[in-house]
Amino acid sequence: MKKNDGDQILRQKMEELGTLDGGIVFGREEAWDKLQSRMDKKPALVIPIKIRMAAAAVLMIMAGATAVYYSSDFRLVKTGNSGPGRHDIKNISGMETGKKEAATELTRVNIDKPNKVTSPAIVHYSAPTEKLQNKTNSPAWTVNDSVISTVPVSLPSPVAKLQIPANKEMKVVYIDDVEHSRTEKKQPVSDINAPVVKLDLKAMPVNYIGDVERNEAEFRTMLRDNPRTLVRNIFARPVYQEEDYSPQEYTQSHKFMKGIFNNQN
Amino acid sequence: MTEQKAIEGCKKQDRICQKYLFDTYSDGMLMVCMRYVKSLPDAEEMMLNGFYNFFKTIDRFIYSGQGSIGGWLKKIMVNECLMHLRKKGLKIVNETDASNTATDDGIISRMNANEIYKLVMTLPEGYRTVFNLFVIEGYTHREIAVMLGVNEGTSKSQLSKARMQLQKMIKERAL
Repeated sequence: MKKNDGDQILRQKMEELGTLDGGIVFGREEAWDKLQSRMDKKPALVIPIKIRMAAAAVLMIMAGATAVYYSSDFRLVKTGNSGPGRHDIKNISGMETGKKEAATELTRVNIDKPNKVTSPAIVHYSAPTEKLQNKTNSPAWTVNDSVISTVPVSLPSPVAKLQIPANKEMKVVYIDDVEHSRTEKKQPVSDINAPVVKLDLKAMPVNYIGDVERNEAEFRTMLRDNPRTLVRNIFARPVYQEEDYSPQEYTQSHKFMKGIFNNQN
Repeated sequence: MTEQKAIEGCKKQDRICQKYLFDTYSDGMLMVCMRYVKSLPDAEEMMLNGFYNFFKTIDRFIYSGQGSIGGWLKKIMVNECLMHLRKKGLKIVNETDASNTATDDGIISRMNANEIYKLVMTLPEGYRTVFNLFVIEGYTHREIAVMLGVNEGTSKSQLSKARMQLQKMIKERAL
């Protein structure tokens, strides 16, 4: 729809119209005072939306973590030599025969589900495990509560009598002395009398430029034939997982790279 | 004081320069706001908001001769008014029935500005807004559609209806 002449006239007339012509009366000075006071006001501190969102996210994560920690079935318990733990339960069910080294460790144990034998409170350390195994045909990791309750338990007497020979005088050892004797460390002593090793520069291997060039040529040929070799060897690093570790392969690649760089230098 | 110097002064937050521009343009800007918002207190509020935004964002303004300040201010005022109308709940129903109706040049040229203004103000809010934006402010239908969040066809239809109603009123008045 194009603008016609009538629109142009209308536009001109409307733009020419002032407040007084339109019969509008307004206090300009009052309006200016209002505007001035508004401009003098310090702007409220506006925190950027990104920071607000980040803070909200952090709070939510913290709240979630707290809720999970307090409401979850899982709790961190300490297992170790001091009492029956996860490894002992495994032995009862006959799943594991070899005795594991029960080092002190933090293990997640389900304490709220009684059918899954995970609570150390149900199984006693001194319970005859063989009998239990014969009576129950339940699969590994499960033990009936009823069976456990019928197993006679013979707990060891809690107090041990110390038998001290009456005639023998006991040596008094102070705890401070023991601690000091443990913490004392021998200061490193430099061995002044050690034989001085002189470097025989003549006996050291000399790299000739021809050898270096030959090695380089060999290296280039190898790289051209199998470009992955370089990458694999550069990124070769010791592997700590038992199944992946192959010392022979690692040593070979290490020697290979060492050879290249030594010759080039 | 020239406009350019006033602008430079405003950029340095000089109150005298700000007052000069306010005195020069407040009248016209109030009229712009009055075309969109009927009540005087609301229009005054819109005008003050507009000037406040103008002085706050004056660093972005580049003076390019006579009329550039007026144009810039008018855009700010129109935006303020549209925001106000949107908040108030201005609803324009999407329509596509647009017949090309032109305003009668002869009758309009014979009428004075105040009469035209009063007639325009009797139009319904939706018609009046589109009519003001298209005829007086000079926006295209596409721009109006974007500003009001309606179809281009709706803008055309609203304008057509506004014109028809205006014609009718002018004829009635002439008789």
